[in-house]
Amino acid sequence: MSSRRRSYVRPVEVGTPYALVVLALVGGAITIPRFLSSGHLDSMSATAAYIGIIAIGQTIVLLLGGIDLSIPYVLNLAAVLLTGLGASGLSGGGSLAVVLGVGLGAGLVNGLGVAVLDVPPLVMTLGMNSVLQGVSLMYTGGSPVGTAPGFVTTLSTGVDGIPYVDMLWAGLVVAVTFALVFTRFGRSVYSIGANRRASELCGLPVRRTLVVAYALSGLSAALGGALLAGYSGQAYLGMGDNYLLPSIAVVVIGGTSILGGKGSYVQTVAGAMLITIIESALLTIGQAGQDVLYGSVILFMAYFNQVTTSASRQRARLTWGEIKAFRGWLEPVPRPGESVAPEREPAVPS
Amino acid sequence: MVASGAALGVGRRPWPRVTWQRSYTAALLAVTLLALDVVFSGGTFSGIQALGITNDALPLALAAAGETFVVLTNGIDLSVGGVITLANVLAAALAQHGLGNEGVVAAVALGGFAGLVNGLVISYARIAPLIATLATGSIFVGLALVVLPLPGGAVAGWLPGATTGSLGAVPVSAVWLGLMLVGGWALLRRSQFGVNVQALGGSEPASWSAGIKVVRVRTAAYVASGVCAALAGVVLNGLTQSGDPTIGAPYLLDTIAAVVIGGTSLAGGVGTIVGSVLGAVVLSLVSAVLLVSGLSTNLQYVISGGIVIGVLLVQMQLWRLRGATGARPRRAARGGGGGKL
Repeated sequence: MSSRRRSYVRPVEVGTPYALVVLALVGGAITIPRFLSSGHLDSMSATAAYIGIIAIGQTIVLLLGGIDLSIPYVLNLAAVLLTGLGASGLSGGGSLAVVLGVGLGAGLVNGLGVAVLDVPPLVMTLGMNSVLQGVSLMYTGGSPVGTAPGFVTTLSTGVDGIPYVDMLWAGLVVAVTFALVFTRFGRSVYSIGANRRASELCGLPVRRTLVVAYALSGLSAALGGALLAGYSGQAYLGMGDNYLLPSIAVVVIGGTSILGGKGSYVQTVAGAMLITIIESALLTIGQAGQDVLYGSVILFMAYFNQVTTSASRQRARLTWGEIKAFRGWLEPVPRPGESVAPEREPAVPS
Repeated sequence: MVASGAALGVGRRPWPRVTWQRSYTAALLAVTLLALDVVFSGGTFSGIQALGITNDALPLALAAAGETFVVLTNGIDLSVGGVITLANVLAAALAQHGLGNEGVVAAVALGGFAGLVNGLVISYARIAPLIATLATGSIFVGLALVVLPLPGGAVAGWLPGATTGSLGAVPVSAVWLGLMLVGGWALLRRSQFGVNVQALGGSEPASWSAGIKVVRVRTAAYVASGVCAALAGVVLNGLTQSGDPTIGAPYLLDTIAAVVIGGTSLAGGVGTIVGSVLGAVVLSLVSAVLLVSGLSTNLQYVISGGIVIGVLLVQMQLWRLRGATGARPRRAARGGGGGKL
């Protein structure tokens, strides 16, 4: 490895979604009274935290060039298990451990299917989602029982204005970013996402990385499910269905390429913030407006990121490449004519 | 290609003369499940049972047939659920105002337009199909909620008969399914469009070099998907005799499941509409069998999920056994990134 670590992350790509977050905050503050009051900021940051935590796994899996469609029912099974196990006498800590274990296990099976059996991720996770839907239905018999353990509710909703879920999220952001940037696992994720065949030939542990990534995705979805159950105190069937689209949306809005190899979790964090702010600013639009909004924001951001990363790549590099503050883990700064990530066909699969 | 329907019940040929087609797995599964259905219901198979199964399968088969065009071009259409919903509520809402026929026409036209939007966004904005259609699907669902916020509406007078009725002992929906098998085969194997779609999925650069209008073919595939999904929405309008702004949600994943069970490769280029239609029949047979067997119908999801993964594994093994003859290199076929799909 060269003395200077290469990164697939460019400052401009990280900066853009955050700039939009600031823009959205300012816009909200101007148009809506008390938009930046601490109460409203708290509720927005908690909402962003749930979707942000759920999207951890999706970010890593998408960086690998895969996709995880099993998030809805990993999340849902986690939620109904958490409340149900408590109702059947297990301690709060015990049920949380079981729930996270089940999420990890489901993700592990996904990973083994994708990595070892070579099943396309879309089909593997789709099938897993269906299987877990059946398991959730059979476990609950159609009507979930019980309430979430007290400490999960505390973690999820906070006490005396201390937003534990935001602190948990902040910790996870640091941990995931560290893992993606500095560990062998993280470097492998980017490398495999950019070119799987080349990574195999370089001797990277491709299969192991895939398995770990999907297992982490199951784990983060299960954690999200537990937190959501803690938030509402109860679990209900179908609660995960509303999180599949957002889990992919926040990653895309952050600018991570779904073809793999480009992006970062820090960008997903901005994506989660951005969509939460927009959604909250337009709270009165109802479900219909929300669906249209999600779709439009995804389309717009996907196009925006597509344009900024392909057409103006050279200009962006010249503008931002020399900013010393971003050196370090954000280090791309390739010499002119040198390409950081292997060039890929942008949108058209070949 | 031999008509894949041959496996359905025509006399068995000696093994060496049969080449295993990808859709045979679905046909085999359908026959097995049908046999199970008959066994569980005590050796009888009533017209009511057949009606239930084919009525259940028809909308899914329509949506899956449309999805097949898109998957064959190495794309994916996740907006089918949204289009189904939108077409369904539009037809129902217009029928309520006495515009039954216009509602059906408008719904199908809107489906085509939705497909056109998908195709153009993917071709010109160069957004990955998965993201683009997920986003447009969300928009369509939102629009459907505007058209009809709560379940309700009506249905054109002739529609229920045309979708759920019976011609003597034969369910009308079974006739439609049969027509789709023939039409799907003809469209893919005997029309220029079908050949172009498969060529595009096989290799876009090669198709381009061969003079195929790549953008036009791809857009046409998404339009076909939109029209088929809208037809599915209209059929659902006939089945339920009303509209429901949540009706399309399960179809998003079920259509892909049906396409996969039907043996179409998600990497594009290889697959059949016949298989997808049979895949839809398999999925509705699963719930029918569970219903008559007295087992928990919740098992349906577990079994469907298992079948999807299982069929894919079987296909991959068969693919491997056949060796390199005529097969594209597996890695290359799935793209460098370990498979977008």
